[in-house]
Amino acid sequence: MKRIPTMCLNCSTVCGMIAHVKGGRIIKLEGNPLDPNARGKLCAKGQAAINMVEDPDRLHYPMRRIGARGSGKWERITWEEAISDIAVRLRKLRQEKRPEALMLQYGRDRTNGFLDRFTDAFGTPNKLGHRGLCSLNKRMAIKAALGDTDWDTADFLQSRFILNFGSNFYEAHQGHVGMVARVAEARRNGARMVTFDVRLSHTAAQSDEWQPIFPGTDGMVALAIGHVILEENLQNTAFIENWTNVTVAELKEHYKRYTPAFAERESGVSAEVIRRIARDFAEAAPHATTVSNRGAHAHFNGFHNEWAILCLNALVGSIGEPGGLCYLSGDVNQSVPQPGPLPPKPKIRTELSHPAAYPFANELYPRAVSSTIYPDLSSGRAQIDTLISYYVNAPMSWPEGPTLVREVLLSEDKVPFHVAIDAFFSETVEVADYVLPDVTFLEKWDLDARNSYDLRPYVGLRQPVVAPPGECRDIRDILIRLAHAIDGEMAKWFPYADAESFVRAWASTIPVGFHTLLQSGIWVDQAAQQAYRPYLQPVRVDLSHPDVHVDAEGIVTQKSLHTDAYKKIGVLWNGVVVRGFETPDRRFHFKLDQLRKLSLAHEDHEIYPSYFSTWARRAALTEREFVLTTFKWNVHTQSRTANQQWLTEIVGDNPCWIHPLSAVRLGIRDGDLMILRRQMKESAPLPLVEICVKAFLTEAIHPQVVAISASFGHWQYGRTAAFRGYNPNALIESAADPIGGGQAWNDTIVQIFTAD
Amino acid sequence: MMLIDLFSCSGCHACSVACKAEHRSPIGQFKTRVQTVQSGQFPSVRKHFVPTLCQHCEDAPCLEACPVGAIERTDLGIVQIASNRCVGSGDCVPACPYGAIFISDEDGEAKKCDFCSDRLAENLEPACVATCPTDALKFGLADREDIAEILDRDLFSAQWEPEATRPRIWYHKLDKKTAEVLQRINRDSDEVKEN
Repeated sequence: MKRIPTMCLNCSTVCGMIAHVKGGRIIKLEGNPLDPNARGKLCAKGQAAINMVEDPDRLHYPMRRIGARGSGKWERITWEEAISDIAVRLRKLRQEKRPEALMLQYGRDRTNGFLDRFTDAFGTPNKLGHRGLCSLNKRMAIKAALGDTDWDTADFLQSRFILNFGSNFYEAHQGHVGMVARVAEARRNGARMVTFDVRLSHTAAQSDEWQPIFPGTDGMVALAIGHVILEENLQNTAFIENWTNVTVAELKEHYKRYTPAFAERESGVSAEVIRRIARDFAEAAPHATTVSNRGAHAHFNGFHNEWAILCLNALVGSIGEPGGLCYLSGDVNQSVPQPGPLPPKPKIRTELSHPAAYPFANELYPRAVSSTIYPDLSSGRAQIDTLISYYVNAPMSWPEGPTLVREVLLSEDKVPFHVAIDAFFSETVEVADYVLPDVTFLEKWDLDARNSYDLRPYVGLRQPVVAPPGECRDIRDILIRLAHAIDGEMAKWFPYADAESFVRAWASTIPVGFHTLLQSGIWVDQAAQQAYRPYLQPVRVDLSHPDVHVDAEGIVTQKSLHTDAYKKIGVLWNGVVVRGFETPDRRFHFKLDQLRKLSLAHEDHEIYPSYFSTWARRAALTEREFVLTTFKWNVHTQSRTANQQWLTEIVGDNPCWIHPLSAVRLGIRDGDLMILRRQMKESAPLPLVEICVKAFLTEAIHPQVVAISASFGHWQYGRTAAFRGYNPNALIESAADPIGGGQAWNDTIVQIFTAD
Repeated sequence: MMLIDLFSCSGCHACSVACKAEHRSPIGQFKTRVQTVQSGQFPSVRKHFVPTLCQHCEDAPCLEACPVGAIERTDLGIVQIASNRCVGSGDCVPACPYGAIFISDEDGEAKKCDFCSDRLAENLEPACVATCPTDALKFGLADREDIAEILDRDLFSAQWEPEATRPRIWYHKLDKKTAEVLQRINRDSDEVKEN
């Protein structure tokens, strides 16, 4: 029996794992104790990844379509034919000087830069992921207000009070195992957790309090908590005055309007509860933190909701503190930069990479708004020639996936040429022209890392633990071959024989060396200080040097060695240069002037965290109308695990949660079929869409909300996955927050009818 | 003995999949599973996650029920099924008040948790314990001091039906009502499905 360390990728938390392999088969997958996040533990999904490798319906060979697109008729071809055909098509785009006619769409890219290398070398900015469907509003808020990173890493272990707005990190969330382990430990040590959610998730169930909340009102509650903190002078005045871009007086003026009574009307959370939570949160500070995710931000007002939540930490001064809301980079390239030379970034911008309606997202987080892609391709607002899909399943898991997205992908006018790279016959593969069989994560090479809850950087190695079946190939091998087949200019950025030699070259700068990493799987930078108070970290600089400037605000800039440009490196603080926050003025932002400049603030106060009311919508709901929300189970991801039988035998269906009182009014009993119909809008007419789902009556949901878990509703993806459960995405319109650019998943209103 | 801390259990099913990988129980059959019991009315609703497995009872009804004496108790107190003697009569299945035994769809024999005796022999903890993300599962043979110590000072730990079967699994924060609901479900061996 061999024990081979590698890294999980059955979700994007990337836990370190050890594969027990015998006779070329994986016997077991266990956690790698060296992983600073999961610390030797592995969730159900990670352990069930054996099923993924052994899925009898995996793709084994390259294929070319022979019937109409989507007809299911294919012929097996050789890799040489596949690469050659695709290269001919792509070479032409470069010869015609329209490389932007290539769109590479990926779902889960943990190559940490190799896809960019390919699209940059090709010359297209259209390397597009699913960020806008996932966490863009949250990441935008963190980037705009804090600057250093786009993801928080709360120091849960030392926290005394955890305020959770719509995150279900006990079941999903990027960081899942490392977070739940620490929160469980903190709770055993007396920490309290309050969860706001429309549904009693497992996280809500294991919180000290579940506060049911009307969808999209989390930010209002956060603002009202802020109101109480400021009204009762519980804020950390020193932090606000020294390290933010506002004064306490300004904040008091702004937060005045967001009273607990106002929040009660909007959210349903009582004013008294809000007052109590505000006092407890402030009292526990700095050992107090928020945690948040899609419940709070997957809304038309998601950016402001997230920003308001983040600002609570700044109000009580818990940012960067032990037990507070900490942050550090999770990018493996920060610790181990990829081997160069790297191709230059393309200068051209397209409607796909920089959709005109989202100027703030284009500024802070380009190529991330996802919900515009298919509507734009459908309307002709954006045009492409070739689509390469990599491990993404848009017809299944995107808003309007089974409807609009599938129609676009079926159309040879809108998508003239489509190459799908996947290990499984997904709903994307169904509508491709060429299929290239990918390896699973247990058969491939990567260096990878995430933000560490140990607050020190680390690097992990993903390595093949078994040989792939048939002719499956690592994405890096595919792109290297393709680049070489396209033209010599592209080939020069890919001087590697294969994925392994690239990763070996990349890993050569890790202090312990590649050989040790092969044995240990994880290297932790133990010499690094834990990332507490990163903004107070001293910056080594000689203030008397002629290339160093200090302005009136104390901001320190230094001239670059290569160009004449000055770069901000820190801020003068008590006579010492410290890092500050990586915002333009090195301070945490309670105020964003860009919002006014970009016409995203319509009133003066909207340059501060604000709340955009959902009250009118709630008041107008009839007995038949509900807000539709979606969620994830602990044993499944969004769309990639339904083929894993050890998971599907635990959760293998996804009926629609509805409160018994709401159901009874409509004459619906537990297990009945019911029709969900998308509410029609007068402002923007949409096609009538309805789906038929099974009802699951439960007290564990807000009576004006229904919920359907993702993961099921496949019509492809192999025998274990297909034709189980329901796909709610047909009902959900492609629509994003105009500021953050993140998809408003949880704002769809459906009408419910009995199905007889 | 095993101590299961329901205050910490996140209901994640990692234990159940670890068990599946270790013992390869047939699809749809579990030696270890996590059961969920919901109580109360909106908004005062609670969910309890309860890992359920063989309780290795000191007065084990399965052991009495087996017509061929295939179920035995080891020196360490582990109740296990001797595969070479099991004839698949199925008498042990309804005898177990915890619904912890099944007749394998694959080989027709009775199966249940044996605390991963194969792993214990290699000085490893049972698979479910080793993987539990929240450290909700603790395992020790009868003399393990830290567990005995916890049980000594812990007012909230309980066994299911202690007087009837004297189980060797203790649950921290198992309330009486949840235990009763589960008892009912497991007697009827009707699985609580998650949705």
